[in-house]
Amino acid sequence: MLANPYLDESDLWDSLQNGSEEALTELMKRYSKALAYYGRKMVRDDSLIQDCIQETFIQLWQYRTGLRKVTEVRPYLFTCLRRKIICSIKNRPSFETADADTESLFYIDFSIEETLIENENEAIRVRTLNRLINNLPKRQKEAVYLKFYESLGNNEIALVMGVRYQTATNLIHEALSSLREWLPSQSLTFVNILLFFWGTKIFH
Amino acid sequence: MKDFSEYEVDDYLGDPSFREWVSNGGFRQQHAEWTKLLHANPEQRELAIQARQLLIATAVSEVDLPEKFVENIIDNTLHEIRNLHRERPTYPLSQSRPVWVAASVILLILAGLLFFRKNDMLRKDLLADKKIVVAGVAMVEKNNHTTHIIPVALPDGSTVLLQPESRIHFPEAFGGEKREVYLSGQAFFEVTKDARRPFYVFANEMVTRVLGTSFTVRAFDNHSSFTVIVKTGKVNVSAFNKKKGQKTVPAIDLTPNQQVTFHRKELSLVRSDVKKAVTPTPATENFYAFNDAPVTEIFRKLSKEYNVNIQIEEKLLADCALTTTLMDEPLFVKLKIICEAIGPGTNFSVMNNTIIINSKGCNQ
Repeated sequence: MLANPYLDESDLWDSLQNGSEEALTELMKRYSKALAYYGRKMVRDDSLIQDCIQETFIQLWQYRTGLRKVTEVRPYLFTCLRRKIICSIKNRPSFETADADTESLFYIDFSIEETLIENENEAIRVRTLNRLINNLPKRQKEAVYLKFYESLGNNEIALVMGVRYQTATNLIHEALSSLREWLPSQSLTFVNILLFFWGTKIFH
Repeated sequence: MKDFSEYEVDDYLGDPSFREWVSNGGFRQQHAEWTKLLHANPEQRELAIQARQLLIATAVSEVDLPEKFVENIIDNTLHEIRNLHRERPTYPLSQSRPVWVAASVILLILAGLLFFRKNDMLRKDLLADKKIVVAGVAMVEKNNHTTHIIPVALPDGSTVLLQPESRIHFPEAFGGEKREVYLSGQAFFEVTKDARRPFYVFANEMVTRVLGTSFTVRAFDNHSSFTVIVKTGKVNVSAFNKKKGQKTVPAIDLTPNQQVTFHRKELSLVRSDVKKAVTPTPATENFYAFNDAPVTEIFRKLSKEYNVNIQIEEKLLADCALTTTLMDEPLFVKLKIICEAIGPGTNFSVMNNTIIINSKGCNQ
């Protein structure tokens, strides 16, 4: 049901391998925003984020022949960006070493589409769901965000976050099982629910 | 396509038309397909509503990016990569200070070596290196008289793969301003990025300067020309004159897959492109994506690509697997990452030309 995100990117990747600036430009057009939104979850500095994104693409360009498969482009971009941002932040004098755990840099506040709520009962339920999700540990939220808003697969999430594949899968499962009680007639494949629906960004 | 009457919550969520229906107002759209469908099938309505509520509860609202954000990224990136290809000879005047300092340090080192040769201090550990103290600075010297490559760790985490019949020395700790090493022979360098401290390789009259890259320097004392071959990043090569007044030559910037030949007598630098097959640099990749890969396989791959011996206890690590990404870090940093990922009881040490992985296994 979900289109393979890489279907139309094979040609692009081939051109990039051959040294096409147009291909690089097209990749920048496609991914700069997504990278920026991800970056913003880690640091509130658009200028720093812009620098890191630029460096990421420059590095992609320099090392392009080292990427053997088109499926490596996206995890490469996100992994690279994440590291550059963390690296940049660590060099700042104001960086608190107490927060040196790289995993705690990710911050997101899932919001509610208030305008779509139909009635008060629904509002209560939606707000509870929202609260539950927002109270999840940061790592789980990051895994969920990467999965549903950046459409990364579990193995890609593992690479980007620098954790084991099993850990990435566990993060997602733990996140979603917190929501179980609010969906009484959940199916066996509950944990796969959001696997599909957050494959695309629904609200902008 | 699953029949609608069998839809579960996750099927709704996986249906793009359903998601679109939700974000366009759901049941408020009186004439929408989904509205009609759900009205006609009340037994499905509960599930659809649950799915809808999940969607509504997990919205992400992004603040708009600054104007021309993406355009700027594109412009700046293209500008930078075009600069990387352009030849930019720089003139010695701007190089003169490091050159002068380099000359004086080299003379001191040479003098020191002569003086201290009889009083070599041997470190009492696995590493058979020599410690020299010159002008108050403790130096480490590594000499490779074997027929294998010896991996050497520098104080900043950079890695040097020292070829046979080669010698390198460097301070025990790099200063705050720059990192300097002295080479005689051939070595492959992987230098950790540190924009605040440029990295210099001095090989007789040739100076190679980088911020964080990987490259090979080939500078045997008895050869008439030296070579620098760049694998990644950008490198600046210049000549330094031991005597004032000697002809100076413009420095050259090199980018990946370029090399420069330094003719010692003429003090000239000639740049050329490198055909991949010829380069003696390690055939390492720039992006390793290991997905639940056995640890033994990871070490084997690194050992093969860097052409160094890595010794592991197969039994202890047989069941360990890692998911990790390695990029352009120097070898020793890669090893550190892997060891840390395996577990707290794992580290590595270097004995002559072998890297030994000490491990207590991984906790599954």
